[in-house]
Parts: sequence; C-alpha cells; structure tokens
Amino acid sequence: MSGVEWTFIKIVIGMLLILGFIAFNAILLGYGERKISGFIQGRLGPYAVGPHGSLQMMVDMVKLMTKQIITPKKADGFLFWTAPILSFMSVPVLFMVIPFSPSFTVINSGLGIVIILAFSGLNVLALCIGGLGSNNKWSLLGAARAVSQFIAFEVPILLVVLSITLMTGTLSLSEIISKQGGFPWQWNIVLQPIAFVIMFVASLAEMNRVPFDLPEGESELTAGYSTEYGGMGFGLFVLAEYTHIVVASSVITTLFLGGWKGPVFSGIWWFLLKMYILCFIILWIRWAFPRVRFDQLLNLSWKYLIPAGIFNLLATALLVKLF
Amino acid sequence: MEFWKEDFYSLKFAEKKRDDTIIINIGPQHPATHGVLRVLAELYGEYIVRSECVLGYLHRMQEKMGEIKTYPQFYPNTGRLDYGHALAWNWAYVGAIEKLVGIEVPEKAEYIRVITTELNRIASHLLWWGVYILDLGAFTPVMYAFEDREILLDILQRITGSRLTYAYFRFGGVFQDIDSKFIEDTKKFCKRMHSRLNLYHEFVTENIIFKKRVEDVGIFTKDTITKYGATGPVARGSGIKYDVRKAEPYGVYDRFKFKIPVEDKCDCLARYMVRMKELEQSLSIVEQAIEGLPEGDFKNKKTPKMIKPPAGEVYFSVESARGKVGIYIVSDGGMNPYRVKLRSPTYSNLSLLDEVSKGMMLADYVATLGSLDLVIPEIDK
Amino acid sequence: MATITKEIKEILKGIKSLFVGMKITGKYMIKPKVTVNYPWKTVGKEALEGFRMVIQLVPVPANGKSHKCIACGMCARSCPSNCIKLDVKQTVEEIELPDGKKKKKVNKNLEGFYVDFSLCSVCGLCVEVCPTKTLTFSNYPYIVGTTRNDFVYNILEDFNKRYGKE
Repeated sequence: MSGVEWTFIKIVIGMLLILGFIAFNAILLGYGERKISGFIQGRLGPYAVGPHGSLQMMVDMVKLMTKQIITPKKADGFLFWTAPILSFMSVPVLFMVIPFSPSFTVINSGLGIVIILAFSGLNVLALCIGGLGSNNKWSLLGAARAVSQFIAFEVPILLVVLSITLMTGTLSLSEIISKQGGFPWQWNIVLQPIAFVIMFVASLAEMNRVPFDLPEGESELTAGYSTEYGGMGFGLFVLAEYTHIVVASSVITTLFLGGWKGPVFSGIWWFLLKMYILCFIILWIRWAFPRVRFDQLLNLSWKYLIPAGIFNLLATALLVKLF
Repeated sequence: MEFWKEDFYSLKFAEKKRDDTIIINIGPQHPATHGVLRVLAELYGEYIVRSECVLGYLHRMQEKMGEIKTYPQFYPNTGRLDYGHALAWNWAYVGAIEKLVGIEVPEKAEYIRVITTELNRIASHLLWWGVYILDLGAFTPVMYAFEDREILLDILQRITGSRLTYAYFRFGGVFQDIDSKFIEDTKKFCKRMHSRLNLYHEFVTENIIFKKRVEDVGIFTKDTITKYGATGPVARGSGIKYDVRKAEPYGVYDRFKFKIPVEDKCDCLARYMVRMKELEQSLSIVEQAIEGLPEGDFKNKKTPKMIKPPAGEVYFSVESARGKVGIYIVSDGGMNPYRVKLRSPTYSNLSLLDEVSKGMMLADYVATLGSLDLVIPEIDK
Repeated sequence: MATITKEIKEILKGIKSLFVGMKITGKYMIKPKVTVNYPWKTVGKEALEGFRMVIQLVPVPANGKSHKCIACGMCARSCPSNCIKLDVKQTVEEIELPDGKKKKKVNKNLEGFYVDFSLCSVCGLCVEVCPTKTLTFSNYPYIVGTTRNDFVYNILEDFNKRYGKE
C-alpha cells in the first residue's frame, strides 16, 4: 500500500473511533453534569433508569431522536437546519490532531493547534446562523451575543498559544508534550501560570459555560440561539457543547499539563485522567456562580485577559531570547 | 401580520417605535417573570429604550369574589393572593373584620399570629433570595434556600395544615393551637438559620460576580418611590424608613424589639441587603415571641358564629414581605360585604419599573425585576 | 498608585470569593443528600401530621365505632366552593307522645357524604362548623386520578369501610 492510501484508511478508522468517543463522552458528561448538579444541590440526580440512573442519558437520546422534527413556519428552513449540523460537523475534526498517547494520534500534524483553533471557530458560525435562521428575536439576540463573545475571547487564546509556541518552538501538539516532563514541576503550567489562567477562563467563555453562558442565558433570553430548536436539532447543539468541553480540556492538558506523560507508566490513561479532572472542574463551575453581564464579559476580555496575555507574550519572548 | 399589531397594548406600544429598534415581549411565558407578567420592551441592541408592563393574565376577580361570599367564606381567597406570604393577607382580612365587628383577640392568639406570620415572612424571603439569584444565572442557591424553606414549611404545615396557601387565621383567633413540638422545632430552626445566613452571605453576597451584577443597577430614587407609593423592602432600600409594624403597630408588634433595616444606596444590592437583614430581624421577633408566649385560649370563644358586621367601612393594613398590604371593606349590614378593596404592595412597586427601566441593559432589567420581589397573583388579584 | 493597589486588592478579593463559592459547593457535593427519593422512599408519618387533605368522618368519642353525623348540612352551607353534597333520606314517622298527642318526627338518615376534592380549598370551615365534631381532615396526600370524578369521594362509605360496617 502506498502512503496516501494508508493515511486515508487511518483517517477513516480514526474518524469512526472518534465518533464513538464523542458519543461516549456526551453521555458521560451529560450524566456527570446531572449527578454533579444534583450532589451540589443536595439532591440525588437521576435515579430511575438503570443503577443510579446511569442509563438516563440513553433514554434521553432516544427521546431526542424520536421527537418530531419541527421547523417554525417563518424560519428559514435551510439555515435553521444547517446550524445544528454544522455545529456538530466541525467537532470530530478537532479530535483528529489531539495526541492522546504517542501511538494514539490520528494525524500527527505539525500544525495541530492551528487546526483546532480554526475548526472550533466553526461553532460560532453555527450559533450565528441558527439564531438568524430561527426568525425569533430572542434567538437573534443570542446569536449576536455569541458572535461578539467569541471574537472577544478568541484573541486571548491566540496570545496564550503564541507564548506557548514561542517557548517550545513548535506548533505540533505531540512535540509540545514531548518537551514537557512527567512530573508536575516539569509541566508548562509552572512556567506559564498566567497563560494557564487566561486559557482556562477564555475556554469557558468560548464554550458558553456559566458564568459566561450569555448566548443562551436562560433568565434573560429564554434559551438564546436554541429557543426554537427541539428534538435532534437541540440534541446536536448539546452534543457539540459537551464535545467542546472535552476538546478544551484536552487542549489545556496538552499545552499545560504534560499530556500523556505522568510520573509513572506514561500513556493514554494519564491523558484521560487529566482531561476528565478538567472536565469535572468545568462542570462544577457551572453550578457555583451567577452569570456575568454582557459588558462585564467583554470588559473581562479586552481589559484584563488581553493585556495580561500581551504582557505574558512579551515576557515569554524576552525570557526565551535571554536563555 | 406582525405580532405587535394583534392586540391593544402592542398596538399602542408600537405607535412610537423607532426605526432602529425591535420590540420584544418579555413574558407572559418567560423564565424571568416568575409567572404571567408581560413586559413589552423596545430594544436598541442590548439596551431598553422603553418598556411597559401589561397586567391581567392572572386576574381572578378576588375583589368581586369577596362581595358575593359571606365573610368567613373569603378566608381561602386571602391565602391565594400572595403565595409567598399568605399569612399576611390572612391577617389583613381577619384584622379588618375584627376591627369592624369589634372582636377581641386573646393574647395567645396574637402571639401565635406573630410567630407564624414572621416564619412565613422568612419563608417568603428565602424563596425570593433563591429565585433572585436564579434570575442572575446561578442555579444552586435556590436549592440551598429551599432546603431551609422546606424545614420551615414542615413546621408551618403541622399547625396551619397547608404548605403554601394558608387559611389559618380566624376571626378572633386562629384555626388550631400550637403544641410543644412546634415550639421546639421553631427554636431549632432559628438556631440553624443564623448559621445558614452566614453561609448565604459567604456564598452569594460576597461573590464578586453577584456584586458586580447588582451594584448600581436599578436605581430607584426617593422621589420615584414616593411618587408611585412603593412600600416594603423596595422603599426601605431607597432610604425611606416606613414599616407598618412600627408606623401603625397592629397585633402585639409593639411588644417586641426589632429594627427596621434601611439602606440608602437605592440599587438592587440595597434592596437585597434590606431583605437579608429583615430575615435576621424576623428570626429575633420569633425568638422573642416564643420566649414570651402566654397561656390562654387560641381563639375567642365569644366570636359570633354568624358574622354580620354593622354598616360601615374599615381599613386595615399589615406589613407583608413585599410591603403594605391593605384591605378596605364596606359593609351594608348584610351577610356579605358591599365592597372589598385589596391593596397589593407589588402592584405599586411594579408600576415604577416603566420609568426606571429607560436606558437599562436587558440583563439589568431582569435583575431589577427580580429585586422587586414580584408575585403576579397578588398584582392581578 | 493608591487606586491601583486598591483595584488589585479588589480583584484579589473577588478571585478569593470565587474560590469560596467552589469550596461551599464542593462541601455540599460530599454531604448527605437532603431530598427524599420519592417513589422508593416517602416521608414518615410524623411529617404528614396536621396536613390537610380530604375531610373524613371520625368516630365520636374517639374510641367508638360510629360517627355522629346528624346530617344537619351546616358543612355544605358553609363551604365557599360548594364541594360538599349530602345524600339525606328523610323519613317522617308519627310518634305518640306520652300524653297521647301525636307528633311528626323527621328522621334524617345519612346515605352518602360526597366531597368533590377537585374544588376543595381545605379552608377548614366545614370542620369548624360541625356541631358534633365528627368531621376532621385526613392527611393521606398520595391521591391520584385520571378523571375529575376520581376526586369525588363518598366519605361515608370510606368510614364504613374503615370501621367494618355494611
């Protein structure tokens, strides 16, 4: 077999595995979110289906899939249904370049981080056209919020990634990991603490999680961009949202937490452990804080995160030059 | 046909619409309005150009029902006006009739009334606290508030028989006596609540995001308050020291030591702090009342079975969790009142919102709406 | 300079408050749960004490076996929502008084006591007004039905079932 064909087969197999991984994670995170929210609030969470409600998400998926597909009368049908599909379509690509372990990487691209930044940007396009196509004023407001929020928080993420690449001298995710050691003091988080904080906060905002869930801010915009969606349209948005949590956790793990490297037995388990701990924290944060206001959200980005990011970048450049 | 051309209010509102704005309906089905309040708002981006509240989606003709029923038969209606603080309405109604007929209330009954009403006020404020933070986007505090509120409702349910829509007070007393378990539970609750309030402050009041959301938001000046006749924590949050319990003491409120919390900031945080401090004051009133609970009857035995007040009119007002609750009754000497007028505090409190909301952000509008502590059944009556 | 230090202090305080929020929610996560897992568990009997549900007839005196309802109809008249219907069979019999005169005596026999709970607002007026104190509130809250008629209870029949009468 020639190299091109082999790559193609690898991509197809990887794609299938990734789709399974996405579905598994959506179920796990959905269940986790319900249980975590329940436990935090003194409740038990889902309990009826399966032992401790563990099959609840399966039932919900069946419910979402079997629901009637409704397009609002005045909505633009094409845009309305493109949005959830587009929102989900970009997601599998993101996993392609993530190095779960040295052997478990679908594409070992030299431009891994750029691919992730580019394709995660598609999500906001989906929210935008979904909000616009619904022909609902709440959706429109939600879409408008989504776009300006995304633009505001893309900048600090780029600055952070720039400082990491300056430090490591590569855009490949595998190489960024290989430059870090197995022990916590050898990770990038020690050298770049400010960058880590900026990355974490900005990722929260990019994923539309509380306290930055303004595009769907329930008490203000009913459900924001997803007001008119029901059934699988809504399901795809949720699937994409959960997957973005996993992707963001993976990227942070890769960039700052040493990826698949651990003190002992380096391998995929270390990656998954770090990733799921981050996911857990992200889910946890949702149930602890109120929502910020829109101008405060933008202020946070333009007034605090971006200056801090620029400062961090300059400091990194200086230090890299010096040593 | 566009939606705003379909009913009277929308039609009126759309007349002055600017070209660069959109009109949206906040409600009647909207998570932030806690019921069926409808707000027509003209939005310029995120900013509200003007807004108008449309009421009447829950109009149940409570006043008319008062006219066609005999005096005792109006009891259950008073519990259904304000589901948050139903006992205040109970008290306002029985107080008015007692004043008109001249029924004496035994001392113990007065104490029971104070205890239950204050407990109900705590429950109401807890409900508000949780739901207000829910309006601001945090899901958890409402559950913590309900954890305490459930204990309170269990205590009240033992005595009053219901958990929300009480019909407990009777002319000349209350429905049934309190027992030792009630007193014990109440004491335990008061003790627990003090530490829980600290947790609330730690968890929410000091949270930076919460603070930023409510500080300097929704300024109600003193003039606005007096112009629209707002009362309760809304007025006290703007530096007006008016509380019916102190201004026109009813029952045995003049025997207890308590402060009226007043804040001068006029913003949402001021109203929030007033309510949080009122929780402490209510707890102290309950503790004092339990301490000084006298022996005696829980109901005046000489209360006539058939209430037939002399012709005349009466006005009686009490302080509910939301402000001044007033009931005005005209009797023509018959079996049922000639006229019943209910003064609901939230109606006055809501009416100032249209003026204040100009130029607000949508999120601030939701925060301000929540800080008014609206109960729609009370507004629409 | 002073304003900058103040600002930084504010920011640090704000960040600390966020961690406090995480700490409190984290503590709750491992605390025992306060809710009752309803279909599997229910609240205890003592939690329902005093709760008002459908009215019921009780024996008077309490250790007896017969209710004292005299079918006077006071409860039905006092009810604000007209949810009580009494099925009373009136029989008139002539009895001879000791002095030889004849007098008509009206016997009221209670054949059914219907309460439409879908209309009831548990205000307690009927319980208060009952001259023989044979009406009280029951406190069994788990009632369910698919039609409105499911909530029309014949509380006399219930009483007879409970106390073993035909």
